[in-house]
Amino acid sequence: MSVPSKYIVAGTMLLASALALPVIAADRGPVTVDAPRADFSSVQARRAVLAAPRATATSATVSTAAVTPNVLTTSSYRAYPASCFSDTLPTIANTIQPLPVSPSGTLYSKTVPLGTNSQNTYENVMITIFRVACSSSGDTLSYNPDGGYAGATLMRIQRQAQYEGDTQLYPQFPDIRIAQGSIAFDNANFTDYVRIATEPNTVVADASVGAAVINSTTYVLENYASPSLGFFYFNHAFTIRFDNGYQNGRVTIDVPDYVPTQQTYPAAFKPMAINGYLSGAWYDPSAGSREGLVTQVLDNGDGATRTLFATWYTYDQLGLPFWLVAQGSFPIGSTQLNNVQVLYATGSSFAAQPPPPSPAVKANVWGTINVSFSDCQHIKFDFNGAASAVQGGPQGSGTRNWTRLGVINSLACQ
Amino acid sequence: MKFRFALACISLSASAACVHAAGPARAYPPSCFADGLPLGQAAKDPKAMSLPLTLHGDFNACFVNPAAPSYPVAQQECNYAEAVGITIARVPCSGGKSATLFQLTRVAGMSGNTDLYPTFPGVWVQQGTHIDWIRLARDANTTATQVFVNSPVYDDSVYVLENPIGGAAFDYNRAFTLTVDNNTGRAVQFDLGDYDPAVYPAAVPLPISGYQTGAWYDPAHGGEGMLVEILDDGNGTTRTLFATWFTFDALGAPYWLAAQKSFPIGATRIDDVPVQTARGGGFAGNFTAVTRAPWGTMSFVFPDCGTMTFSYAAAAFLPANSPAGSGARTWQRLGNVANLGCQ
Repeated sequence: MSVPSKYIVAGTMLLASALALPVIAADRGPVTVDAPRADFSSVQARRAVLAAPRATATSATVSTAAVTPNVLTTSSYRAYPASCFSDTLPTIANTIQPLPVSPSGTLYSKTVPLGTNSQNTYENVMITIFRVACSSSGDTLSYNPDGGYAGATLMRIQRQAQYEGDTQLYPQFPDIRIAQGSIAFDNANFTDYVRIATEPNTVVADASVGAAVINSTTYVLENYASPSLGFFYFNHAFTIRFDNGYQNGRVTIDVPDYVPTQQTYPAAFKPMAINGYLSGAWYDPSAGSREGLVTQVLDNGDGATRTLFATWYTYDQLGLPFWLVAQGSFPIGSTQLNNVQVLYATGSSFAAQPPPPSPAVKANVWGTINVSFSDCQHIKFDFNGAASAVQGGPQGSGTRNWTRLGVINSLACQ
Repeated sequence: MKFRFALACISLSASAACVHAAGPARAYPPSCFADGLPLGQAAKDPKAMSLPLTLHGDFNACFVNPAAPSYPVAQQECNYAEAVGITIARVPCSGGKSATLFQLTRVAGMSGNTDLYPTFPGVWVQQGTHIDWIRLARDANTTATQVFVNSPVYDDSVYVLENPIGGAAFDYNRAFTLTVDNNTGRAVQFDLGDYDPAVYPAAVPLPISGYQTGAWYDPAHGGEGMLVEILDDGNGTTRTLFATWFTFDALGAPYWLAAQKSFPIGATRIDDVPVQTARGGGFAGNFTAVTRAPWGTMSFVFPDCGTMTFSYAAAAFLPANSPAGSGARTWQRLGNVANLGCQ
């Protein structure tokens, strides 16, 4: 084993620590074996059982379990808003990188020696913990009890370029633990175990200790759906530990609180990219839910654009019900829609009842609307138009900030 | 431009209109597991097939260092084998489609035993001349998650068949042969015929979930529509239907009705939904007092993802020119809500 000379001359303490990490000098090589590598099978077994809340099922006739993915869409076990990765989900066939491949924001990185599939050897990888900004409406949620900025916390295992894709000799997924607050490493209740998945919004998916890491991979940190396990607030400071099983084979990374600034996480301060999660009913709480806007963000199926379809149920100048409809196609990723045409229809009948509409149904131009969403709970819109084809139709211009009414099942925007 | 409520559809090509494929590699409709991946689904499948297969233990246990405390147990595990039950079942989804589940049942009393356990077999499919390993996942609607061959199987567990990553997609609604290989010289095969929705009556009508959220209209009657939202009540037992009907009064002027009712999760129809309208309001919040007035009732049922059937009945005494009468209608979906593709 070669040790850089600067460590040797640096004094006893440093020398000891340098010797304890036999991987400093090379990117791959043998580890110094003073003790047998830890047997991770019991760790992995426990994690696997944790990841499967249906572990108590003993026969094929067991009915639907209490904890199901759908329930968990808004459950207390979530680690980040379900809507956070709606635009990084793959839209093309067979994509295998459903999470961002390039770390962004503030990076917390260390070189970590992982054990490999060849006994008593290691390979250095770069592990980076980073966060992505999610909708931050100020709501207090299970994973965000103080209503602060919400992000999702990701982990990138980056193999060295010359080893990327090597299937002959490859690193193995380490034993990963987290310490936070009262949860200490290696505690007797195993609450330092963390669930780690390769795609967002899963419930049981988990990475196995010892699994092959062939290609560099991004993972998202999750909580186990188990009331007896630890629950991590990933927006708060924590320490994450990687253990390759060999003596002194542990590396820790300290991750501070998530405190976005305009420089570090600009997305946290911008309107949201408009996606399906921004479908909903919106109203002015000060006026009660007696007038509202219903938005639906539709897929166009071309992988490039979506359509905003919105109806405004309101009143004419006589106080009678009146509605307007707006529709506009926009590129995926847009955060602000401007000059969306608003129409109103006349000349038709209720429920297509006879007599047939006379004259035929007509689309009349009312004006335009601009729409953006600062977070999952708020819509901001500017309107300008008039219903001149009918007497006493609604008209005017202005800006409104309205609030969401309700959470669409299976599409919880948080 | 000819105006219809269904503007979004018109701008698309005829074949693509209103039908969004949430991903070409999808193996089943995303809305199929709106209420979770069910363990024990095989019991409901009249064509479910089960076969025993002996799976070997964990080879990794053979390499545990003799000095390790777990060595004695590891030796047992190294030499372990268990005859598990493999069950293949189909789950009915919307639109005459299905999802296929792979269920692994351990020997009675062994589920949860983490000292002695079998390891996951190799699973491959042949359909026509197309042969490939497939992806199996314990979460629904994933794109990369999968269980790996030789990974420990501690519990009775159910997986959904997904398409191979990077490979051509199978159509699991058509006939195929699924082979489960224990990697030590033994395999069992399941021959599945074409999926026949008629054998799975439970698929119609759909349990009402968020996936029924959408804009609905009558293609033959432009300018009118209904926006439906299925909302979580947050109590784990009920949901709320909120629907706004954009229609016309007797003079042909725009008029809206709003319907709202809570219903038990799992319900396949919602009856006696109160419908309201309101008077005395103003535009863009420029009003103080609004008089809400009951209008009548409606009922809703969703035979499939693209169809909504409803009935309506107006009250007897309504203001002049109000929408009135009673009837039943079957409307179509305008488009799929992004990130919530009902198929």
